[in-house]
Amino acid sequence: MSIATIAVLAVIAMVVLWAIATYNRLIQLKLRVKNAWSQIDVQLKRRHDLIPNLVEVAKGYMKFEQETLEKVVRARTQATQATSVKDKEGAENLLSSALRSLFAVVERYPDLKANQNMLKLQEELTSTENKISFARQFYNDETTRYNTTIRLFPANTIASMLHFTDEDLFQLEDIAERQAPKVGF
Amino acid sequence: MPYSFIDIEHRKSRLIKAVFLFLIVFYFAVAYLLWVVTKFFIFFNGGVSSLTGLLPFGEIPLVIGAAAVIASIHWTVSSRHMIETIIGVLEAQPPDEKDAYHQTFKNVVSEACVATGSRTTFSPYVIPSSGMNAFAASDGKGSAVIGVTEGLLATLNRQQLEAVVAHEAAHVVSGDSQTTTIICSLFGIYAALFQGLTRALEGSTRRQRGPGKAALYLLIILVILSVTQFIGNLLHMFLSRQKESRAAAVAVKLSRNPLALAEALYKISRGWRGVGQIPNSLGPLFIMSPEYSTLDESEGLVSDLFSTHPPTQKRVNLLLAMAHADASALKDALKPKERIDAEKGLINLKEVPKKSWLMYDNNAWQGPFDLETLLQKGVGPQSWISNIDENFIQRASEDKILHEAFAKESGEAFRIPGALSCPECRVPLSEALYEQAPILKCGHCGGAFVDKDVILRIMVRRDYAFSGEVASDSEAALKERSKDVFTRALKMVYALACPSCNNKMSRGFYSYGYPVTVDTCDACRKVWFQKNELEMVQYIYEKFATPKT
Repeated sequence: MSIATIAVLAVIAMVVLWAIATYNRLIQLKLRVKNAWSQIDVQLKRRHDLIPNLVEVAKGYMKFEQETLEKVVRARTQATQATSVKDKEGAENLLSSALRSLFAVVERYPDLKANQNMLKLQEELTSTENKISFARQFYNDETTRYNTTIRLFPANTIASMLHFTDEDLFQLEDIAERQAPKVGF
Repeated sequence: MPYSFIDIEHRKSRLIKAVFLFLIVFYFAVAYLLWVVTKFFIFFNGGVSSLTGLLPFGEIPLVIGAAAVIASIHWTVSSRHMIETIIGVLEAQPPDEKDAYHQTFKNVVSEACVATGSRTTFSPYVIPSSGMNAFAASDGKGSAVIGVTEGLLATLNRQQLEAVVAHEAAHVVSGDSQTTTIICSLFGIYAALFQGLTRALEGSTRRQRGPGKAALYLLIILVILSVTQFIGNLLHMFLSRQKESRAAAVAVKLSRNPLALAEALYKISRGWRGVGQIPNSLGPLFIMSPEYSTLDESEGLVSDLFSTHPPTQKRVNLLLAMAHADASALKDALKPKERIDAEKGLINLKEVPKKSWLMYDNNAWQGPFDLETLLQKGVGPQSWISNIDENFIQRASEDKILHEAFAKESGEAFRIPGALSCPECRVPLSEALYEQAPILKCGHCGGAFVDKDVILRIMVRRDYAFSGEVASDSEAALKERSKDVFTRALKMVYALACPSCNNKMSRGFYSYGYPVTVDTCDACRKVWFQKNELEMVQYIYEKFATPKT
């Protein structure tokens, strides 16, 4: 075997090894995105589970606010049926705004506000909202990392060959929007 | 000055790494120095020629190897049960599920877990102290504890608590508690050596004047060791301060709420932060040094060098700058909480008709029904039911709420097995929340049966205002604390039986500081308060423990 053949073979072997390594890295990143998404999913499911209880407790006190309650129930049903990231984004935002209007109404019922079950549910819901936003932050970080990697040269050659595509980011509004910093004079 | 938390995190991380590496090199350098001095005293016999043989570089790896082995043995031994030891020393407990404040804290910790990508499991712990402080410790293998005091839980609102927990979680994810334990165990070796030698030196001088050479040798070693300790301590404190700043930046990255952390730090700095008797070396683990010292508050060279935490004012200002706010933003945080009227003070746990039961009837599950419908449907103590919230199947008589309903219908026939009754009026005690803490309350006479651990929580919490009666009774009790000791002693005869173990309870002041007469069962660690007495204890606590403003 001539030196040239050995050199060519060595180069081919290196390229193959690099391709395998890159492929594995991409798969790993993709799995991390998937894992991060499943964490959001767990929290979203928890949120959907809490809402019927919330509506049940509120019902006893809010005889004249059936419309608000129904809106929440409808939004929840929609959210549970959404499957893709984009669909969920829309449905969850709708649910958030429905919940926000519900809590605005709750403020008008002091008895309901002081109700122990209501307080407990509100605490659970706040906690779940926080977890959703943290999990989302984490998911978006992982997704950005993956999306960047599949676009950068030379990994993008492998990525486009094996059809690695961009994952969607997940954008949500906060239910209790974080207080904007006040300007003091 | 960069106000971006990402910049701060990177900058501090580089600095911390550099100092940490320097400390490790320093450890080995001192080991080598000690070796050289020892050799000098063993082999040096007046001849100048042997001096050159004292510094062979070939021995460096040998000495470093030996020092590394000693260090790693010391480290494994000292850090093996570190978390258990800390929890034990602080008498920290896992949160009480029935307590609403504790439940919130537990939720906040699990949120922090999600925020850090669930790579570390955080276990929440509550320290039974009325001071305000928080700590974190990790074993480096993926599990960590975050502990806060009862005082902190009672004083901070949810956002502030989130910020404090994020700060502690930040310590864990940046591996701060690892570097602290490594450094402590490295320099702990020298500290132990120093103590051992001083003792040996004292012993030898007492017996006789030993040979001058050995004494001189010991003296030189002691000087080296004390200088080492001094420099080690300074650098360790410097490192600790840098870590605090980095943790604040990472906490902001996690919670995105710098203002809440600023408020929390400000509140903590104004109160008492004691956590009980703890060794000084644990100080750096806490969010603010548990020992109050004026050094913490003042700036300047000396205080900068000798404290484990940066000055509070500096920490708060940096956070305020991140939030684009100034000190006026803290004003809101310092407003005392609005209090609820005393009449509404007690929250009964069962209130709203909830459709939460399924009933097995006609070979199928029916429902869900609320309590009233369920009774109308003819549920009996032997019917199979399932509570939706609890999600298991049981006899109706085993369900607490249903059981009470049966008891109401048929008088005493259906006493809940194991339900305690009031020691004075024999009515079953019901579970209730007072100041969000679980107590057993008699609906008839208004007495309360409270766990000793829970009393501390109630004392530090301030959700409810006091009625005029409680205030005047407490003032009277304080005034007459030293009177009629004799009559009170006679009252011992009428001691009540403990609702839970049935032994006689002892009657007397809750303590001399709290001259409210209560009945205590020492075996069960529980106290029986008659109506208003619990509030009186709380009133007296608050009267003397209000933080100086």
